[in-house]
Amino acid sequence: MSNLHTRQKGLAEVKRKRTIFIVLMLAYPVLHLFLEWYLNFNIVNMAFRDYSLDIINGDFVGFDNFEAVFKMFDPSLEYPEYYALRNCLHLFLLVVFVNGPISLAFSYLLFLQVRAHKVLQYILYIPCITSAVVLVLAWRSVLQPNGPIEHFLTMIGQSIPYEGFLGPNTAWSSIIVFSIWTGFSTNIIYFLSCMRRVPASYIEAAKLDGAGEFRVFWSIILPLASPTICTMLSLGIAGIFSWALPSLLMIPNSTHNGEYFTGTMGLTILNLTTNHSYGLASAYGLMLTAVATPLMLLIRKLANKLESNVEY
Amino acid sequence: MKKQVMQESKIWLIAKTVLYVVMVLAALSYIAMFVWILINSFKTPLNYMNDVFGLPADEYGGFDFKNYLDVLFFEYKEQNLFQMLGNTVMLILINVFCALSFPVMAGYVFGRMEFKGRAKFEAMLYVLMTIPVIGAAGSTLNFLDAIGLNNTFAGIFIISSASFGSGMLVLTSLFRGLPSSYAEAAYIDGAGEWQVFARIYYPQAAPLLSINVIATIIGVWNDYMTGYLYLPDHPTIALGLQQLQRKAGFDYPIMFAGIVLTMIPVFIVFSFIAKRIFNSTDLGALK
Repeated sequence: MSNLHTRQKGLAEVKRKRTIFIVLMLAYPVLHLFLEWYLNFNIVNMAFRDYSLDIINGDFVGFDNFEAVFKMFDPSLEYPEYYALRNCLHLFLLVVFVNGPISLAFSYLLFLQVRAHKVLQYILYIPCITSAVVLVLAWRSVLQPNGPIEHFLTMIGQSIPYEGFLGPNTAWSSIIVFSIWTGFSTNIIYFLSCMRRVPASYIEAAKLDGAGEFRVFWSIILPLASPTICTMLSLGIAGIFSWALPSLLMIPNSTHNGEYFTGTMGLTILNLTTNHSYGLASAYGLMLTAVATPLMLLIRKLANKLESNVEY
Repeated sequence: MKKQVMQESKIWLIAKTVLYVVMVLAALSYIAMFVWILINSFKTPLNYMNDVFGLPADEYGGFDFKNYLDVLFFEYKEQNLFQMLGNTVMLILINVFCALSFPVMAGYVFGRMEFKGRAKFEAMLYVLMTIPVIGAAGSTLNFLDAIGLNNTFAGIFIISSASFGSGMLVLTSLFRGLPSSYAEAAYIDGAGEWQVFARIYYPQAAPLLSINVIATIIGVWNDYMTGYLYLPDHPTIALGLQQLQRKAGFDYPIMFAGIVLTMIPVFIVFSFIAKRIFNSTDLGALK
């Protein structure tokens, strides 16, 4: 047997072993990728089916589910679904105009190493590591009749709404305040590490030219951080469509969210899902996906464009 | 010109001070909330109803540990606290196993090897991560029902490994950035693919994976939705806490004791990685 032959055989052996290696390593991940595709895009199929009789396969019902979802928005209903839409719009404004700017401003202050910045940074991270259940339960007990907030307001001579803070007219405002209180925390850590990656020389140079802290933020930090801001924004906006947990936990019985006007579209889908109304949930979800996808693509495109302008 | 700069800096100084005060107040509110919960977890219900701010008063029996005992004997769906803890630990183990295995395996192959069909898989992953499909929980439940794994830990295993996508992308770029010279030396010494992967490259991902694991532990411990949707008959700690609140009704101190008990492990685990998280500058590079 010639030397060359042995070598060729060896190479073939190495190649065969590598193929086996790749196949085994990727077997489960790729299988799972197919499964995820199936699970995600099967809602297109499920949206046209009714699962009340045959809970596994469902029965084909055409566009009935879509019609039923549209009917939920009918304003003549006692608790129409458009409150959920209104609430989601509130959340959108909250994410974009309140929590976003607050977390940016706080991050910049921490970046400037204001007094006690290290301790503050740890404390402000607490909502991120705390269970949403704990946060909601704590918030609920603070707002309860005869709870600390009511005592405090009475002490400073303020009046309390007659239905308390968790009644039909006040519950949604309470949830909004809750979302501000716990909402800026996650972004801070990303914004902060993004600001810390800005080369110190840029900031030094600007300072030599007489730029103050605000000018440095506006002209250097903000443009350089814009891709990260866009990404966090798109995550925040994507989250609105499935936002459900605070309303689910804040109102004692989640199906009562209609009466408290605290429902969201995500919560409606969740309630439909837990009631095994998979067809309706899928139809609703499909419609929202059709709205969310172009929105996400747009923001992503903007982020990419901003990123190609930003190089450091 | 100079005057304008002066004025700008003055306005900024005021704004900065206001923002700083708000930030400190926000931070204090978190601390105050936990201190308030801790103090009230030692009160009797009557003491809490009559005085929500003070320390446990002597006329009501002073510091009372009964709430904690009540939590320990709390049951939901015939499962006590220790069984709920067991369920949660089981979920954590499943998720940690998933975080340590599939994303690393896929990331290694995608980062360091060429193979047929690679572009197709990447496209599939990209589509999956770009389209924010809403309402797919029903489809997942339907699938689990069809294969008979709804409400089981095996079903949770299938769902948990779903999140390998984004983890895989980070690991792909990590493995791609590592030099090939280590592997070449090992191949010459007769090491096979498995040894090169397990002995040389896997350990390189350890720092990143350790953060992932701790984040997974905290995330699963706090997670409500997974248990609520896919594992209702094996309640987790988060689910149990919500039920504890329902059962306790106006007996808030018991619920506070439950909150304290669930938060202690989180703070302990978090203290291990807090420094790493805050000192890293590559977190913002998630884009």
